Parts: sequence; structure tokens; C-alpha cells
Amino acid sequence: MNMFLFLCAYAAYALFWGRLAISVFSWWRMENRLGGNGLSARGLPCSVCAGGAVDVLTFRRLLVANGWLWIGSWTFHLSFFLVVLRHLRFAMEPVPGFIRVMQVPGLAAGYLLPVSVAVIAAARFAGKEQYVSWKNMLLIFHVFAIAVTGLLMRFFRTDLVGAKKFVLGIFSFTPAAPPDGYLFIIHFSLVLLLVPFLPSHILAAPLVMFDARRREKGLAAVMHEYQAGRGWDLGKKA
Amino acid sequence: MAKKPEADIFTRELTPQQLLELDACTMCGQCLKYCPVQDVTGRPSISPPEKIRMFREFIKATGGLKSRLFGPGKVDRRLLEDFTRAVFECTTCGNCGQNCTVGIFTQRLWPALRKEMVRRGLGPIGPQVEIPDKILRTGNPYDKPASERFSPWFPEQIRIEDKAETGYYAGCTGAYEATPMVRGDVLVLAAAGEPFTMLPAGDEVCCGFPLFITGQHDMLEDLTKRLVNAYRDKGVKTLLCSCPCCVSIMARDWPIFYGDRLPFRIRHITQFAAEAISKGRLRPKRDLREKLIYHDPCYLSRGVGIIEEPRTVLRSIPGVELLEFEMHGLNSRCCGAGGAARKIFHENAIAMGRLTIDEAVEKHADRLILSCPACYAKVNEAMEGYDKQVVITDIMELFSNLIK
Repeated sequence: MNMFLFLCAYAAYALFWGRLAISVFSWWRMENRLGGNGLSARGLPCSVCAGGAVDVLTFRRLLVANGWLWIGSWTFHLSFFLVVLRHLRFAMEPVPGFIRVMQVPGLAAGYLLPVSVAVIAAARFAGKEQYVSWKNMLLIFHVFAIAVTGLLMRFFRTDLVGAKKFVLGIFSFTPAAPPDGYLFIIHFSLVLLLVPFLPSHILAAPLVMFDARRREKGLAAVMHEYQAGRGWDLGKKA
Repeated sequence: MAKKPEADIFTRELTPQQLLELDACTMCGQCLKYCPVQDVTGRPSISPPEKIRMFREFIKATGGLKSRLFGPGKVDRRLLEDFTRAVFECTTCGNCGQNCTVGIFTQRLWPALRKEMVRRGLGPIGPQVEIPDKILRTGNPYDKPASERFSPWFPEQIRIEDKAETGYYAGCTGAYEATPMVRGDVLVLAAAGEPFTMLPAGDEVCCGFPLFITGQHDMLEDLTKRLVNAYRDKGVKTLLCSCPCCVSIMARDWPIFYGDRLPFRIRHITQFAAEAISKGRLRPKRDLREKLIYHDPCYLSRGVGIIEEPRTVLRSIPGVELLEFEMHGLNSRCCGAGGAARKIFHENAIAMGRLTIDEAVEKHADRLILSCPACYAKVNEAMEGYDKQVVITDIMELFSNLIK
């Protein structure tokens, strides 16, 4: 069982990077043709950076589109981030001060995480816009299962020292036995399954949000502030 | 070892930005409430996220990790045909993208996906295939003689300069299918005392938008260069146009097909009129005690950001009460005429047009003001035989009648 889990961990890690590499490679090899969005603001003006940062950090566009989905989604992402930060204590020895500080917020986030996922699912099904992608729903259910199994380990005590030895063993290529208990195995396996299938929009969406701000800023130049040679960017020539 | 055949990947017609956009879609489904095709068909199978999902599958099948390791998979022809129909049924109004939770620019993404389908011989659909030949033959997508482009609507008393800093482009749809609109344009130009030039009927060919929107780009560079050089040779510094689709492709895409910044700026006729009003060059001579409701064309509001100027023109008319649609400005609902789909998906277009009429009647508007020749043609057609009726007038048609 140890070796199997270890090999799965390395395979999941490799799959994740392989998938990312293929995406980046495909994107990089694309013909850098002109076209697409046509005109947009030159470079990255401060207003575009600031606006883009607001859009990414606050999910502003989602808030405008659907308040309930925004509550679920924003809480989910923040909780997930805090939970991951808290989990870093298993991968680092000694545990840095900033990770120790995150323990209480991370714990609270752990309780909030399954609730936020439930809100997302409810907002999606309750909405008039009934578009349900089975892959999307599977991902939501998967994350819910990770959150619930993680939370259950608070109530069905898991050997934390054993868990840390196990995780540190993966990073240092020195296999150690996983802690006793099926909950840990299930939780860990679910996380491994998620890693290679993390949705690619995590990386692409922030970039597109910034680009949307650039485009909106450039819109004024299209018909209102046009001056030959200034103010906007044609993009790179093919 | 035999060399693996190179996969015919689906990203050939996309820009790197567009590939990122396809990746960025979170499948949240929020765009469905803004999709006019969804309003009238209720079919999620042709919704924006479904189109993106299908296209992602095509890309994965031919360029994903599995295909790179084990060779490209075969994409089911029926799926490709379903996708082609879905992407061509779209009116490309762009309201999905305007309200997208990550900001995907769908008004340019859908035409790029159409171009890919055309490259594969799956599109365009029906009579769209004939557009390039019609433009080659007659200079317009309606296959009507060039000699009838400016006749009989062009007012005889108005002089066209041989060369002038202001140029006017009538556009094919305006000239052949919405003549009150283009007649109104030139009457307003003349009333403002603006000397302007136009190309002869045989030289004022299609701006290329019908080709662009149906994914048939072969002639675009030639058409663009021909028109840009012709206006440049006439000394034009500002090119005025009233068709939002023409304005959108001229302002956003002509620089790309021309290969350089244009030697003149593009302006919509309402921008000219609003400026002339502010400078006192144009003034309505009569009141109009009516409730007007203005419909923002998709390619004018979302396409090029012209929202205030038409309202400035309408508010300058004494006695007018200006009403607004629930969805207006950047969120304007499509009237059904867009995307080169109005003649092929005729029932959709009529249904969408009738939703526009319904709301205008519901709000007790005396007159529905339009600012797009395609909207003008289709919404008038939608009203034929319909139990709800409203007077439909183009903005410049109305304004030109009041400044006489």
C-alpha cells in the first residue's frame, strides 16, 4: 500500500506537469497572428493592472452575474487557499511562522469549504440558466468529497505525526507508512486524483480577465480617442 | 519507425488570446441568461458554454496529451456538424461575452471558430456559401446591380465632392435593404453643411463584414486595401458610416487586414450628428411629442462603444420622451438580425425581433428607433402579420425629417 500510494503521488505530479507543459507548448507554438480582439490598450496601463487585479481577487464579473454563485465561489476559493496554506505544515519541517499563524483561519476555512461547495451546486441548479456540464458537476462533487473527508478527520482522529512523516517521505523519496485509518487514505487518494485534473481555467481565467480590461480600455480608442499613431496597439505582426 | 502523421489541429485559425479564452471558460453557465438564441429556442445544446466545451474536445482529440503520446484521435463527423450548426446559429451579438464572468470576447471568438469550420469544409451554411461569388460579381452580398446601389434613394439635390476630408460609406445593407436610413444620413450631412465625398457605386464595394462573420476570409485583404486606398486617394480623413457592422469591422479589423493603421479615422454617423448638434450646426426645427424607445445595435454598443451619441441626438429633439429597454447599452438584447444568420435561421430572427417589438409596445413607446440596417430590415419583417405593432424609424431618417 505504501509504495502504491507513493507511486500514485509521483504519477499525479507528473501528469499535472505534463498536462500543463502540453498546454503551454501548444499555446507557445501557435501562430502569433493578428486579429482576434483587434485593438486593445497598449501594454498594461496602471488602470488596467489595478482593474484586472480587482476582477481577479474579488471575482467582480461573477458578482455582477450572479450574487449567490459569487458568494459560494469566492468563499470556496478563499477557503481552499487557506486550507492548502494550513496543510503546508505537513510538508515543511520546521514549520515556518506564517504557516503557524494560518492554523486557526485555516481551520475555520475547513468548515466553510464544504458549505461553500454546496452553495455553488445549489446556485447552479437553482438558476434559470440550466447549463450543467457533467465534468463541471463531477469536479464540484469531487472537491466536496475532499472537503468532507478532511473535515471528518477532525472528528475521527488521525495520527497527525504519522501523516506528516508520510508526506515528508514523498518529498524526500524515503517511503514511510501512511497513518492508520481509511479516512486518510480516501482523503489523500481523492487529492491525488484532483491534482492532474485541476481545471486549466485557474491559470487562463486571470489572464483573460486582465485582457478584458485592456480591451475595454482600448474600446475608447477605437471610436473616440483615435489619433493616428497613438493610444492603441495593433498587436504583433504575424 | 514510421513518422506519425501531423495532426490537423483545431487551433489553426485562433489567436493565442482566443486559445486562452477557450481554456478560461469555467462552464458557469451565467451567459445563458443573456443569449438571445437561448431566449427563443431554449436549447442548451447550442449555448455558449456548450460551443466552447465541444470545441475544447476537438482540440483535445487532436492536440491534447493523449493525442501527442498515442497519435491524434478521430473526431466524430456528426459532432463536428452539430458544432458547426450551433456556431452558425449564433447571432454573434456578443452579449454572452459582455457578461462573461471571466471576460471572454465572444464577438470575435465565434467568427474565429466559424473560420475553422469553413477551413474544414463544414461551413458556411446554406446561401452563405454564395456570398464571396456575389461580392465578386456585384460588389455586394445581395447580388444586386452596382448601378442600383445609390439609386433611387440618393437625394438629387445633394452634391458629392470629388475629394473631401469627410467620406461617407453607405454600406450594402443600408443601400439595398434599408434605404430610408442611408437617405437620412446624407440629408443630415448636407443639412450640417459638411462637404463630403463618396466612392462611385461600382467602387463602393462590400466592407467585408459578411465574409468575416461567415469565416470566409480569403477576399478580405483585397477588399480592405481597395477601399482604404480609394478613400485615401480622395483625401478622406474621417470616414462616416451608419451600419454598425461596417463600423465595427472598419474600426477593429480593417487595420489588421490593411496591415497598418488606417490613413483616416472611422466615425459613426451619430457621432458626427451629436458633434454637429453640440456646435450648433444642426438643430431640429420641429417638435416631436412622442415616446421614443431606442434599440442599441449589438455591433454599435458592444462592438465599438457608441452608446451616448444616439441618445444625444434623440434628446436634442424638443418634446421627445426617451424610453429605455430593460437591457440596453452594453447589455442590449439582440434583435435577431445579426451573425449572417437572419435569412438561414429565419424563425429565430423573427422570434427575436418580435421580443423587441413586444417590449417596445409594453413600454407604450410611440416609436421604436433603430440604428442598424440589418435590424431595420429584420424587425420590420418580424412585424408583418404580428398582432403587436409599433412604428419603426431609423434614427437618421427621423432626425433628417425634423431638421428640414
